[in-house]
Amino acid sequence: MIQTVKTASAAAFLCFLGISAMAADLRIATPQLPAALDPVVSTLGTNWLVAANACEGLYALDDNWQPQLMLAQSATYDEAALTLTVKLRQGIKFHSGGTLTADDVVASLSRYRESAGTGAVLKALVASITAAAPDTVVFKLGAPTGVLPGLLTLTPASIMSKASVEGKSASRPVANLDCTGPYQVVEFEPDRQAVLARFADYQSRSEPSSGAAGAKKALADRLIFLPQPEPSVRRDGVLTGAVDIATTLPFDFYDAVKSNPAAVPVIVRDNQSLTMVFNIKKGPTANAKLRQAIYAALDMDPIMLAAEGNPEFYTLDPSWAPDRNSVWHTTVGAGKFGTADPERAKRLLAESGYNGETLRWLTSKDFYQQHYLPALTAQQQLEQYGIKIDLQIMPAAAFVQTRTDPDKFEIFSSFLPTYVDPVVIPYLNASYPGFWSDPRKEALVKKLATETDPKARVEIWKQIQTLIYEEIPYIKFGTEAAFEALRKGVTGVSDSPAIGQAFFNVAPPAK
Amino acid sequence: MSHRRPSDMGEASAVRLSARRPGLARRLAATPTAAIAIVVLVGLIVAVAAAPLLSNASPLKIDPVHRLLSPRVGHLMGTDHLGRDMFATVLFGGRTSLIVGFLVTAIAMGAAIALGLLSGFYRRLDAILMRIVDGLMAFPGIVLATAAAGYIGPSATTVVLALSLVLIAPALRVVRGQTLIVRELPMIEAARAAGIRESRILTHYILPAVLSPILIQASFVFSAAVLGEAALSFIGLGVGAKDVSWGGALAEARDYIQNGWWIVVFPGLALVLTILSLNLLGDSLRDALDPKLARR
Repeated sequence: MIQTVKTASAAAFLCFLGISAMAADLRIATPQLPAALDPVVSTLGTNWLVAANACEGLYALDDNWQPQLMLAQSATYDEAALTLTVKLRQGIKFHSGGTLTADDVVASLSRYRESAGTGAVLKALVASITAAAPDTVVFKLGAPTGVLPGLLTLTPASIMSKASVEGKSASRPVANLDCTGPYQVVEFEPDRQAVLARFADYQSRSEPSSGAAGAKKALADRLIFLPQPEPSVRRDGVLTGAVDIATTLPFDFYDAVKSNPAAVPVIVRDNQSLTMVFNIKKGPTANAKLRQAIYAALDMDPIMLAAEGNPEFYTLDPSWAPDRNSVWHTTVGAGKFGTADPERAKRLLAESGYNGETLRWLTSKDFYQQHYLPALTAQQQLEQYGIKIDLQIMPAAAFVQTRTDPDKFEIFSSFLPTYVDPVVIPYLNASYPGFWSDPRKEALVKKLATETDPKARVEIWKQIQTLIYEEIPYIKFGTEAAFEALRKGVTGVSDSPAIGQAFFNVAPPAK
Repeated sequence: MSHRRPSDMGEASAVRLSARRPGLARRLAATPTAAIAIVVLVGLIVAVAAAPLLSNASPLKIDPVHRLLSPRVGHLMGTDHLGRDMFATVLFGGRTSLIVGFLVTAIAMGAAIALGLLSGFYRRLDAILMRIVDGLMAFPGIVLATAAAGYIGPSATTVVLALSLVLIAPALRVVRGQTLIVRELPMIEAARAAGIRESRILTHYILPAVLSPILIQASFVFSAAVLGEAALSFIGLGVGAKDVSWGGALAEARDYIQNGWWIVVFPGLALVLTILSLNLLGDSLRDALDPKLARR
């Protein structure tokens, strides 16, 4: 009898395994899941993870950081460049079954422009967004601008059905993402998992895939995002076959992944800048001489080596647009970037009148490689010049809150990816913690927002970067790569930083 | 039944205690586990005290070029992922652990002795104090310490205060329980009858009589404090970035086990040896001070 029960149980278990194995799931281990799926309610890019796979905007970024049409069929400016008319693609379906119309676009973008961060930039540039016809959206601009397409590639500018966003303010998340992307959310348990299933009615573009633009295919039956804060757990998940992709791994795991026949490493070069941001509003660091002295005192190579562990995975590149494929990548203004100048540091420190005040440096071990390790190394370097640093380590949530109060810090750790357009770089916003509001910067940013000639815009951006290296409102240590581990057989993962967190066009190993 | 004057009783117990000390030391030395534990602990204390002489490296000195070096001449225990010398980390981390251990033991046992004696002696106070102790003991110790450390913020002072708060309650219960037994002994009745002040009865009659369990309890509090400090540092609520600790070193090392076993093994070994020695010493003390229990 017992034997019969055992046999039946084993058969049932094998049957269950068989069913599980039939489903072509792509299991992705990430450091965290967002608390809410709605990208509009958060300015933190890591919170857009699920939405980036389920939603689409009027435009999408290609591998060269250029905006390409996505839900838009065409987009044309009038002669004065004060009106942008966007024609929508026909027959696009939402996950709920409805058809995309101009009303959905107006509802989504009107909500987005009321949100903080880049939504405020849209609000400043666009006087009105209206539906001229069921398939036509008209943007009335306050002044000519070249920023709009880039702005509309951002995940918070995704188009959701009017019914799903109606009555929801920009700070109140929608219940579920009713979007048009190749995957739809079928299950979401914060801190446990998010499950997205292939959207059967998805209509792909026909252009070749490039970044988040062009053709998109849901090659897995389901995407399953699993939050696993410990990097070693994510790595071991791939090595043992428990997950298919492990994101955001330390480079010290590279050899272990590379030498394991069950896994393949992917390096995303020039992914983001590691930085420190000064409080310009109050306290000792409001003094430009002290900031310049700190910049001159820092030797970037040891800082980046301590953070990354291997010189292959970082560059001492001074550009504030770190991806070399971006049109905004430039080295102007940086001078002899990366090497400390002790004489200059001492001279500037004396001129600054620095009197041994302790500088409070906010950092978080939640971003161990990006925040904590560079801060620890820089602190040691600065103390050699008598600059006292009080490293205040706190959880990420407390860190984000504390840095908004100019009375509570002099420096905080940060990192910055490449942006589609410098106008949307949060550091340039005077309300961003650090509070840099220099009239020259404000004038240049305004000029950049209203200039439409691409070449002239790049020249303006170069002037802004030069000003950054003169005034030192923030310091860049270097550019780090990103490292992911794939289970052997996973295909289609891009090594371009432009694609961000999207997993369409990625296939799980064949069964 | 002989009738002696209470003051004679006090002197007699003092004489007994002083006479027992060499016996205790001899008994401990004769127990192999206790002897080993004492040797390890003394060796550790000496090494930690002489840390600047034994290692000329700073445990905080970052040297990324020499990161993850295996044990070798110049770096006896290798270097960690930031190029910091692990030998220095273990030595100076031991300082943090032992200082926290001593301070927590002093504070927790000081408070436990004072409150335990009062609670066991004055029944009305006992009713109030024990409800507070029940409340404290209702929470798991590490949760309470984490909450306290999280509320005040990470620092060595926070760790000492948080662990002291957690460890007072069990020690207090032990002292109070012993006091309840001793206060009913005829010698206390006699002392009262002789008109001796209650404060003197507490300090000169009851305290000496409950000293043995206090000593044993102190050794366990010490070991719990060292382990608690490591646990709090491991989860990021321990001593700050400017201080080195074994728990903090283990926390930073956990992602590098495959790259450098030495980063985990040496601070882990130091922690294990310390806790094991303290617990063995506590057990041996209990056996030596309570032969009936040892024979069971």
